[in-house]
Formats: sequence, structure tokens, C-alpha cells
Amino acid sequence: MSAARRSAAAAALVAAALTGPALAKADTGRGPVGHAYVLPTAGRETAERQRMYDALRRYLEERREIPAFARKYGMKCTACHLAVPVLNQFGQAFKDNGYRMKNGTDDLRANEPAYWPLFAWLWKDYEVDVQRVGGRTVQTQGGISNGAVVLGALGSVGDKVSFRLVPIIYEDGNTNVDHGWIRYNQAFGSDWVNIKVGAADFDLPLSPGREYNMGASRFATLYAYAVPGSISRFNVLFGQPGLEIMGHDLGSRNRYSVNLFNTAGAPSAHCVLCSPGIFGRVTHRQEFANGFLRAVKAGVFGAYATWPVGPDTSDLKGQQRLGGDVELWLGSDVLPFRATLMGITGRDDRALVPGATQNPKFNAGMLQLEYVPRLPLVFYGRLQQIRNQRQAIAGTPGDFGDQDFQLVGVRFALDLNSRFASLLELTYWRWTIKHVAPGGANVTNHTVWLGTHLDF
Amino acid sequence: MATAVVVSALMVGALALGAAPLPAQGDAGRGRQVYERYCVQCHGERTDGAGEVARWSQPKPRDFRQGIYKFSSTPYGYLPTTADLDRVIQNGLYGTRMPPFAALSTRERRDVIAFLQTRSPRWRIEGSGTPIAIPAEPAPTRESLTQGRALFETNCSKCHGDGTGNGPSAVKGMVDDWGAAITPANLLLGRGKWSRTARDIYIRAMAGINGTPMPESGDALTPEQVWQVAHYVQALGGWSGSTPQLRQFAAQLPPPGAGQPAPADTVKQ
Repeated sequence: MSAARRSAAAAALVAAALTGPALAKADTGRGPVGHAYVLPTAGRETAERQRMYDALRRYLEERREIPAFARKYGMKCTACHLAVPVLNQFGQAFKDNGYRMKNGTDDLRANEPAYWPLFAWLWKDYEVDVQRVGGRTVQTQGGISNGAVVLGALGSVGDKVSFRLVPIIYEDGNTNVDHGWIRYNQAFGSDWVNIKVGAADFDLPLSPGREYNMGASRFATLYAYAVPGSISRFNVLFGQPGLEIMGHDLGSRNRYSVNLFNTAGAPSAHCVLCSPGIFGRVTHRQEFANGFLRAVKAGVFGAYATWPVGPDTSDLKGQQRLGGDVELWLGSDVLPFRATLMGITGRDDRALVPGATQNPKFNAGMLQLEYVPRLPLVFYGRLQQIRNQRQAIAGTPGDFGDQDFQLVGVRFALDLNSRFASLLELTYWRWTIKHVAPGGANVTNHTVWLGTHLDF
Repeated sequence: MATAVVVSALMVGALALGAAPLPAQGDAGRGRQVYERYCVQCHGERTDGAGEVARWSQPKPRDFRQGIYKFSSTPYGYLPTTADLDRVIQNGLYGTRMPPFAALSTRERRDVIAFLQTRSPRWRIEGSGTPIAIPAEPAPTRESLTQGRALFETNCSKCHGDGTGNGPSAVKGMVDDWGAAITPANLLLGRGKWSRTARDIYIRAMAGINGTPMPESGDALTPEQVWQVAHYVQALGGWSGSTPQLRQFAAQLPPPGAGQPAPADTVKQ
């Protein structure tokens, strides 16, 4: 999937986060005029910078371009992907089935002995970033970013068991291992009960693990948003360790998922299930017999997570997220114009923000447009907005930390077959965070990203 | 809040647009797009069954230019109906590289079927066959199973042997019309590539499988006898609709060629 794009994006953020002094100053938000302010961390605490760094690392792990499946089932990538890595309905059903075709060919014993459910993926990209603070350019940087190789294992070993484990080795020496999960398919013989144990990604609209662009911006803007000053590390972008129960009908036109988890990263000195949380989503897809509108998929989702506060971290405070989404397939099922609109609202307990006087609230929205004129070419664009409705600390400007994000891009596959995929991508995005620079200026990053990635 | 209102409006509007009836005929042009996304890897860009992975596929993908389809509800040698093709697309062919495409929309399936029907002149010249008549399914009994086992031995065991596909013809080796090695189905698995129920077994026994050594029953068996064979086969494995009692009874029948079956009343139903 979009390893490359993530690499680029991640490269931007990760590189920025790792590059040292400039970043450190940016984190304090008190750097000299003209100094670089790395957008994702500007005005935040060092811990938050680390959180973003971790988030990006983990975000990179989320990609799922898995040629191993094409190899196993002898199908083209486009069978499952509207455009790699975004799933179409057939791919969604395949995923919901635990990466199984349910056709007697999923069991490893049904495959040639030479087959193993492994894949490799590597990427390289060139990227130029221009950062502007208060309308003035403070930093321009670019170059070939560090790439990585992903050696993943994912798929089904039998009709009843699917799994995922994805280690990633970066050129800069870092290595991450995906938390991974094991899923027991069709418990009680029903597609409506599938049980996954491990760190499962949430079933979000426009799955952040299947983003076209590999750039640093992407969905982190929205799904990983935390109200200014929050000490909680919970967000819906990343998988949380726990249990997922999901189900679907034939063809995955009606689906649900429920995640019961312990919030990742929460202090856990005094309990077993220290910071419990729950996430759930239901979706329905309606297909139409005639007309320009081919299908509509609508869903609602919500999460409630806790995070410990207090001297002994025994006092749990809550965060809630509620959202809805609608996805329109227009013109064609196969080569569609797809529009996805999503809204989310969040509210945190004020105890999660030191010095807070009221419970902070925010609203956010996202619109993504995709057009596939022919295989394997896709144009895409996305708008994201985050608006803080109520700041935790009284007196803080109402739009402090508000964010605007715009992205346009094109992706083309040079090769897309049953053994490997080779892709090129060109993307531009702009990301603005309001009033986080010293003096209250806005910080805006402009990024042009050109990347290639290879999956096999 | 505003977002929620917009989303709700879009959802309601979209659903309101969805009340139109399904078109009876697909669009072959759009069907080609469907084909190129989902089918080309096996069936090939020229629809000749020579796709990129065809060399590793057994059985081989269909060559749609020939207009020969293995699984049909029509008599042997006739083209399948649109519903037959749709069934294969939706359910796939179990144990083969043909996966179930139940997630495709009805329009997508209709469109790709329309496209496939442009690939052979047979569709234009002959058109689809008429599905075979299927009389009402009688309830399986120990007597009908016993009779079915005898008929199976006479008509089927040459290839299917004791049900596992180990008949003498199979042992010698069999090929299909395209020259590829082919083995009779193992009926003990409780599921065929196409068949799942006794009704499916009935259709296969009556219509055979085009392009393979599996013949139609023709005049060799009456519909009642075909049902008896179907119920015996159903009781050989965990086919949909088979009961533990019938499977137990079938298991106690002597294997084909071993002589007279056990008296029907020796086993509780």
C-alpha cells in the first residue's frame, strides 16, 4: 500500500522530529525569528513531540499493500484495491473475511508448499518542504529521504485463523515491530462473529492505513488530533491493544466492529486493565440499479477511552469521539469518482489538560475526492479541518491550535501484477496550524512529494 | 452539527435515488472494465483463458471465446443462462482459483456477464439454453438411499469409485476437452466446485459438466432415480441438507462392488 507515501510524509515529520536543535527550539515555541518551526510539534511539549514521532513511526507500519495476497490467490492488485492501497468493496469483503477468499484455497495446506504468507516492501522519495510562519518563509528543505524495508507476514493460515505481524527496518537504523494480531474467523460458524486479539486498527472511514499519500500530513491531522495541552496519548489513528469483535454479511454490505482495549501507552502501575476504552462502528452500503449514483456507504462511529491522571495514576479520565461518514460512488463501480465526507466531534475531560478550567471540545471534518479514470491511475484530493470549539484553558484564543489541511495528488502504477507492484506518486499538500508560533502566528507547511515504492 | 446535517441530507438523498429497478441487460462496455479489474489476471486480456497466472491454475481458467461453460443448469452442450453465470461469479468455484465475487454489485455482475456474452459467437447464434426441468425433491429415505447407492455403483463408480474419485477410469487417467488432466470429484468432501445441495447434485447428474468426461444422464436414469443418486451422494458427506442419520445409514451400506446393501430397516432413521 502506500508505503512510499507514508515514507515521504513520515520522512518529513520523522526527519523533522529527529533532526535535533531546530526541532527542540520549535518544540518550545520560543525559537528566534527565522528559525525553523516544525509544524507538527510547534508549540507543544517535548513529550508531545515524542508522541508525534512515535505516531509517525507507527503510522508507517499501517500500510497494507500486500502482494502476498495477489501471489496467493493469483489476482491482480486492482481486484481488491480501488487504487492501491484504497480498498474497493471486493477488497473490503476480503479483509472482513480475515484476508480469506473463503473458497477452499485459504488454508496454507491448499497452497503450493513454496508459498509463504510473506511480503516485502520498500520505498524511496524526494520531498521539498517550505515552512512559513506568520506569512514569512522560515525554512526550506528537501532531499531524498530515508527509506525502509518492510518484511511482513499477514494472511490466513487456515480457514479459522488469520494473522498479522509486520516488522519494519528503517535506513536510519530504527526498527519497529507491528503489534500484530491473531484473528479467529467465523466464531460459532457465523460471519457475524470474528474475534481478533492484539493491536487492531479501528474501522475508520477512509482507513488511515490505506492512505494514498505517504506524506507526513495525511490523516494524522485529524485522527491523531489531541486538544492543546492534553497529556493523553489516545487517538483513533493507531491500533489499540485489546480485543476486536466484528461481523458482516455476505459481500460486507452491512458491517459492525467493536474494539475493547487498554489505551496504548497509558501508565499501568496499579492495575491490569488500567485505561479501558471502547470503539465501535457500523456501516451500511447501498447499491443502486440505475443512475449516476452507483453506491452509498454510510457509517457512524464512536470511541470512549480513559487515561489515568493523579499521583498514582489511578484516577481515570475520559475522552469521547463521535463521528459519521458517507461515501458516494459515482459514475462507475469500477472506475468511479468517489467522494467521502466525514465529521467527528471530540470532548476530553479537563483533568487531562494541566491547568484546564473547562472540558475542551473540538469538531473536525474531512472531504476526500478520488477519481480513477483508468487503471492504474488515480487522482485524489482531501480537505481536513479541525476547529476547537472550547479551549481547555479559559482565555486561550478560541482558534488556537485549529488546523487546515489540503492535499492533491496523483498516483500511477508502473507495474501491477500478481507478483509485484511498482508505483509513482506526486503529491502536494498544505498544512496550517493556527497561532502556535511565538507571537501567535500561524505555521504553515507546504510540501511537494515525489515518491516511488515497490511491493513484492 | 452542520456536518451531521450535511451528512444526513446526503444519505437520505442518496437512498432516495436508489429505488429504481434493476436493468435486465448489462452494459458490455462497462463489463469490460469490470473484467479488466477482476478477471484479466486469470482469463487473460483476450479472454482466452491465458492470463498471467493461468499457467499455475488447475483447472485452467475458461477461454470465453469458445463459449463452453462447465457449470450450467441447461442440458449438456447448451450455453448457460445469465443466472448460471451470475451464480458462478457470486459463489466462485470452490477449491479453484475462481473466487466468490459476492461483493460485486448486481450491476457489475450483469455488466461483466454482458461482456462475456460478446466473446463467443455462440451467444449470438444459439443463445442461452433452457434450464432442465427439476421435479419436486422427494424426501430422502433409507430406501431411496439404498436404491441410489445401487444406481451410483452402476452409473458413477467407474469414475467416482467409492465416492472419493478413485474409480478405475480415474486411476487410468482422464483429460478434459482441452487436454488437461482432470480428476473426478471427491464426493465425500460434502461440497463440489459448484454444487452444495442435493438439488445441485441433481442438476449436475442430469446435465453433466461441459467439456469434461462427466456426462449428462440422458435417458439412462429417470428423474426419480437421479434424485435417489443425488440423495445417496448427499449422504456420503456433509453436504448441505444431509442429516447425521442419513450419513450414518449411508456409511453402513456396503461400498460399491461389495455386494448387496444392508437391509434398509436395520438402521434407525
